[in-house]
Amino acid sequence: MDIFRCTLCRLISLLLLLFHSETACRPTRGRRHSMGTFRIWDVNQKVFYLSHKQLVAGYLQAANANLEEKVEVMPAESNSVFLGLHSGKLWLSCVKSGDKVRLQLEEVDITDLGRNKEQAKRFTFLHSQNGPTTSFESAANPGWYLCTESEGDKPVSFTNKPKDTTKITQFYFEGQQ
Amino acid sequence: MQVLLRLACFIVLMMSPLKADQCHESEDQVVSIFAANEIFARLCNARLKDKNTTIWYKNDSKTRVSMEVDSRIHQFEDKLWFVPGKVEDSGQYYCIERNSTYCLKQKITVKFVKNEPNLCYNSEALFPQRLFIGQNGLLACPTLDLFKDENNEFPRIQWYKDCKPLFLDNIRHIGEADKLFIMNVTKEHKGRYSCRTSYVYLGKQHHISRVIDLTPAKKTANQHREPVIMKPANETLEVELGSYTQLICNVTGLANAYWSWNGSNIDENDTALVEDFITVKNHHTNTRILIVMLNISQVESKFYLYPFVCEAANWFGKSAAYVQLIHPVRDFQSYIIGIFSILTVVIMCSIFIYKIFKVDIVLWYRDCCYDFFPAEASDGKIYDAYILYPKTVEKESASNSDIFVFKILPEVLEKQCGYSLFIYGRDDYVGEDIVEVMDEHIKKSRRLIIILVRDTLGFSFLGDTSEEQIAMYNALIHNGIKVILLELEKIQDYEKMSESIKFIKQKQKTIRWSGDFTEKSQSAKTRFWKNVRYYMPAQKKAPSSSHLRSRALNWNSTELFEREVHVPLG
Repeated sequence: MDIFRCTLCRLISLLLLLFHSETACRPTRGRRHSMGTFRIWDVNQKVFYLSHKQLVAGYLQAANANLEEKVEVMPAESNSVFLGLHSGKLWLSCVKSGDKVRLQLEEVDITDLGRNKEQAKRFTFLHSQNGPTTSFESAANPGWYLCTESEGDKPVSFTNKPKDTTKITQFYFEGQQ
Repeated sequence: MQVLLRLACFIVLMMSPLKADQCHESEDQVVSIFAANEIFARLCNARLKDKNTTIWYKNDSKTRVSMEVDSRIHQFEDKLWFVPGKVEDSGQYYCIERNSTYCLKQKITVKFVKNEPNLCYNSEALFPQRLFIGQNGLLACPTLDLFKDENNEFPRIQWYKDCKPLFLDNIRHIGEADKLFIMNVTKEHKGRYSCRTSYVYLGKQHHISRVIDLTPAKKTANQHREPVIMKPANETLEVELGSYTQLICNVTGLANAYWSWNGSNIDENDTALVEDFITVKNHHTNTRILIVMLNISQVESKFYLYPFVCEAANWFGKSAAYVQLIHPVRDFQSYIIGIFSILTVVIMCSIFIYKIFKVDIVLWYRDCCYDFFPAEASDGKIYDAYILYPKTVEKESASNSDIFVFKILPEVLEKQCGYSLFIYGRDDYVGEDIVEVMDEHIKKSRRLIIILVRDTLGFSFLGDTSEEQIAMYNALIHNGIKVILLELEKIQDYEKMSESIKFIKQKQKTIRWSGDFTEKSQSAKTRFWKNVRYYMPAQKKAPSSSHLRSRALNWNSTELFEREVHVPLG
């Protein structure tokens, strides 16, 4: 009986193992799927990390490398993307209230959201390539670009003056193959 | 009553700082690691909005950090200062930020490290920075924001690479504010870059250094370019109407890919068209392959109208490739191949069968189709075959060859098959010159049948007789007469035979007699006689039984006549 149990256990664990390996690389079905995870840093070498639930850009030492946020990129419409954090649990959105345009991190199912264009708009960023760097303009608020401050450890935000030297709107991307 | 009111106010006043001390606690995950014996300052960064005050505490979270600027560790304005930091200062510090309504308490960790032996930095304090090979870029001397001067400018910075001063030529390396611009980054730029400066604080100059670990990143081919669709390759696919089909799109590089048809994407609720994908990582080439599958549960006729397009996109561009479904074309090629194969087999079999049953087939053909043969002009020959045979020396007993030649051969070929033979010793006239007779009669014969026997008993075989020579001459040189070799016994050694026999033997095979030499009646249907008949000329008319009988009668009368003729001359 014990032998039988043992064999059964092994069989089950083997099945689970096989199933796991198969499902591990199969995200939920959907027309949109991630282009992959990218390492992102601004042209001043600042990387993204979360501090008090805010996305900030700063210089992280090797000892803090685990805090670095990598960006999940999901194509939206042509030339535009959704930008996610934490393997696509949190998504960057651009929200305007009054005169202020601010960055929000929202926990949404982006593939579900993708169908509703109006809903998806604040999550949509038009990307434009500038040599080795990329900039992201909010689709919901045209003219507003994702930016970091020239100083370190400041929140990531939006600017409508991309040529302002205190704001950095150009980012490097490197795919995590 | 007033007393009570005052008491209540007092209690409220007493309680309020207590309430404010109920701070929301958090911990800064970022550990600051800097060189010892250098000035260091940092902000609380608890990110409280509209903060009024910041208070720093030592690692017990109760003892306030000194506000005296002479103190090595002190608070000045809202920053915590180490002037300079010592290794023993490493540890936890707390800061509390307050506004009118809220309070945030944050634990921070600071670590001061000494330089490693023979190095100008400690590897623990490294700031990793990346630049792309072949591009221009910059390194930033990090966390110097608190050391700007009154004009909000950075102090002058010296740059070092691997602890050696870096020459700023303003062409390849340009120093500006807290940045080091590097033109055309190469692999050789990899290394540890130190930036050093000094800061005058309260009238005293202090050192500041940071160390950067620069990795020149290689732009891998498929990372920074538009996706490549390996499959499909704008192709057609033969699919039966109503069948199940799976279309596969293989894309390399970081990209998104999906199928579309007739200008629209595949609807997720569509049950006829189901899209699915997997990603496969090739560990050898360190590339990712995205495989997008479109399962068509039942091919509908409309699917043949427009192609299925696989579109792949990343922010470097888009790619597309299509598959056009087509109705299957009957495969003529395979049909032709099939027919040819069958034909080949049939021909091979026919050849094989013909090889085996050649004799039977030819004889059957002669029997059946003789009536349809066109009437041939006479060739001027009288005999179907001239029989050349060894003459026995001993006359007492009839030899096997005599029995064969005089009994068996005429019995079958003449009586049963209707051939006319010339047998010397039977058909010649007494007194005739043998050489003349032979020459004359061989010419009148269509075939020359040579009877071969073993030359063991020492009797003279065809050997060198003039008869044989004439026969051979006619057979070989004139070539107008075909030779049939009949072996009455197995002859192993042809060496003793004459050259002409050897020559004929090389040219054609012999027919060996397999029966006995008794005088019982032979059947023309045995293999031996079939072979002989095969080599014999086609009969003008297959002998019917009545015809045979009449022929037999004729032959008998001829025999009688010949015997009669022989008698007076013998």
